Amino acid sequence: MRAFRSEWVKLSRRNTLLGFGGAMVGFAVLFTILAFVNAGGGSVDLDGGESEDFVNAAMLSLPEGSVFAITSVGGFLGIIALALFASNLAGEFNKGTIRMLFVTEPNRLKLLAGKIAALISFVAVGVAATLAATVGVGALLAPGAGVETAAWWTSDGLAAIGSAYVNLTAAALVPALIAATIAVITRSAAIAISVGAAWFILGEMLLGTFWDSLAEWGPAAATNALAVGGAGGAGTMGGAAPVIAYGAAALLALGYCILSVAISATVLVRRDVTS
Amino acid sequence: MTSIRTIGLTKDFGDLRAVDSINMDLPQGGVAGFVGPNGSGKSTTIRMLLGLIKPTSGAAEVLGHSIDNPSAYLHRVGGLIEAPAFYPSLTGEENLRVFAALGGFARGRIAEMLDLVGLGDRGGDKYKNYSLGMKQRLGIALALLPDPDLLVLDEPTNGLDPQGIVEIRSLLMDLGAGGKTVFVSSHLLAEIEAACDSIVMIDHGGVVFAGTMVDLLNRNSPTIRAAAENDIDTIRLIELATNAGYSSTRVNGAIEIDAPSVWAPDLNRLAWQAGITLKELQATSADLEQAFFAMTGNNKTGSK
Repeated sequence: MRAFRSEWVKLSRRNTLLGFGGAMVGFAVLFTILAFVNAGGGSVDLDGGESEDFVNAAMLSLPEGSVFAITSVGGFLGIIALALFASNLAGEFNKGTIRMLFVTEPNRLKLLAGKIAALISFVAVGVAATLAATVGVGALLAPGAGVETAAWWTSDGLAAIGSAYVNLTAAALVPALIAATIAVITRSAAIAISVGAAWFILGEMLLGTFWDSLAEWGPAAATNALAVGGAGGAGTMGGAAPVIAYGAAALLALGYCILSVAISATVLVRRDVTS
Repeated sequence: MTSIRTIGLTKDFGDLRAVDSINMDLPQGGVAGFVGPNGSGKSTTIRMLLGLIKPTSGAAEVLGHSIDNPSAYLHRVGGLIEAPAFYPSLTGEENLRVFAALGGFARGRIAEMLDLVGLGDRGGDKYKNYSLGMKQRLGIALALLPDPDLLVLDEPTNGLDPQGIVEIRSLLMDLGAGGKTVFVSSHLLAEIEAACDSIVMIDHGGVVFAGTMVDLLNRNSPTIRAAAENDIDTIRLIELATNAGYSSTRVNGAIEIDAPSVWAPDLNRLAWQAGITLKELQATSADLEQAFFAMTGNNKTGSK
C-alpha cells in the first residue's frame, strides 16, 4: 500500500495527467468525432471510388453505439498504457532512483506490486475518463449525425458501457505489462516502447501472415479480441475481425499478464543494482 | 554492539574481484570514515550493506541483522549512494514525499529535513533546476528522513562549496555525538580526518586499516621536532635520541626524531638532565593524506 501511495505522488503530477491521461481522452474524442462525422455522411473518399461505410447512423443508434468508436480503436489505449508502464519502470533505472527505492523499500516484490497496482489504477481511471468523454461527445454530436441516442441509456446500453470499460481496461493491461517486463529486463524505455508498440501495432499481424495460428493465441490477437468483446466483433485499428472467443481471450490475456509480472518480479528480485 | 560487522565479505563481478574478504567491526555511535582509492571497492561494499547487491561469499551484519534480510534493518538506515538520484520533474519537496510515502515516514519530517540541509526555501523548486550542491543536500535530507540509527553516506560532500562542506561536516559530527552512527566515504581526506573518530581504509578490495583515527595517525611515522637554544647542543640532542633507539634528522637548526609523541616528555626530561635548554619541542603525527598514501602504496599523483 505504501508503494502504491508513493507511486501516485508521481502519477498525479500535471505532466503525467496531461500527457498520458490527455492522450487517452484526446485520442478517444478524436475517433468519436470522426465516427459521428462519418455516420453523418461527411466522409471524404480520397480515391473517388465507392467504399463501404466504417460506421453509419443505424449502428451508432444501437445500445452499444455510444462506445462503438472507442471499442473499435481500443488497441491504441493499450499502446498509450504500454508507453506509460515502460517509461515508468525503465525510468527508475535510467534516473538511478531504483537504488533509493530499494533502500527505502527493501522488499522488492512489495515495491513492484505497489507500482504495478498504481499504474493499473491510473489506466483504469484513464479508461473511465475516456469512456465518459466518448459518450459525452457522442451525445453532443448525435443530433447532427442523425443518430438516435435513446437506446444508449437503456439497461442494455449501460451494460454495453460497463462491458466496454472492463474489456478496454483489461485489453490495455496486456501490452502495458509486457512492455513493463521488457523495460525491467532491458532498463531502456526506448527499447521497451519501440519493441512493444511494433509488436502490437504491426509485428504480430505481419507474422500472422506466415503463421496462421498466431491469430488464435498471440498477445495482440487476444488483446484485440478482448477489446471488442470477442470473436464476431469488429477488428480494432483497421485489423481483421478477431477469431478468439471472449472467454478464451480473457484467459489468454490473464495468462500473459501473470507471465509478464512473474518475469518482472524474478528479474527485479535477483538483479544486483550496480549503477 | 556493532553497527556494521563484516566477515570475509567478498564480491566478484565475473572475473573481477571487487571486494576481497573484508573484515571490519564498526562500533555504534560516532562518525566513521571509509576511504580508499577509486575502484578500491568502497561503493560495492556500501551497496552490499544496503542490500542492493548480494555478496559472492562471506557475511555481514548491519545493526545486528544479517544483510541477507535487509528488510530487518533498512528502516533504521539512511543511505546516500554515489550521486543522488531523484525525479527531475518533481520538486525537492515532492521527491521527498515519494520516498516518505514509500518508507512510511512522517510527512512532517520533510520540511524539517529540508531546513536542516539548507533547502528550506528551495523545496518548491524542481529538482532539475538544482545545482550539484543542492542535489547533494537533498540526498542527505532523504538519508535523514527515516531518523536513522545508522547513516551510510557515499561521498556526501561532492559538489558542495566550502561553506556547505563545513555545514555538512558539522551536521555529521552532531549526529555522531548524538549517538547515531555515521559511516561516510569521501575522497576529501582532510574532511574525513576532521570529522571522523574511526576509519576503515581499503585498497584493491581489501581492508588495509580499521581502527581509530588516532591509532592510524600514530602508526604512520610520528615525529618529534626539537630545537636546542644553543646550536652547539643540537649534536647532543641527536645523541640522546640515538641512545634511546630513535633515528633523527637535522632540519634547519632543529632535529626531527622518528619517535611516537609519548616520548616527547622523556626527551624533555633527558635534555634537562643533560643541561640542554629546548626552545622548541613539538610532537607531530602524519596527517591522513600521508597515512593514506603510505598504507595504500600510492604516491600523490595516484600512480601505483
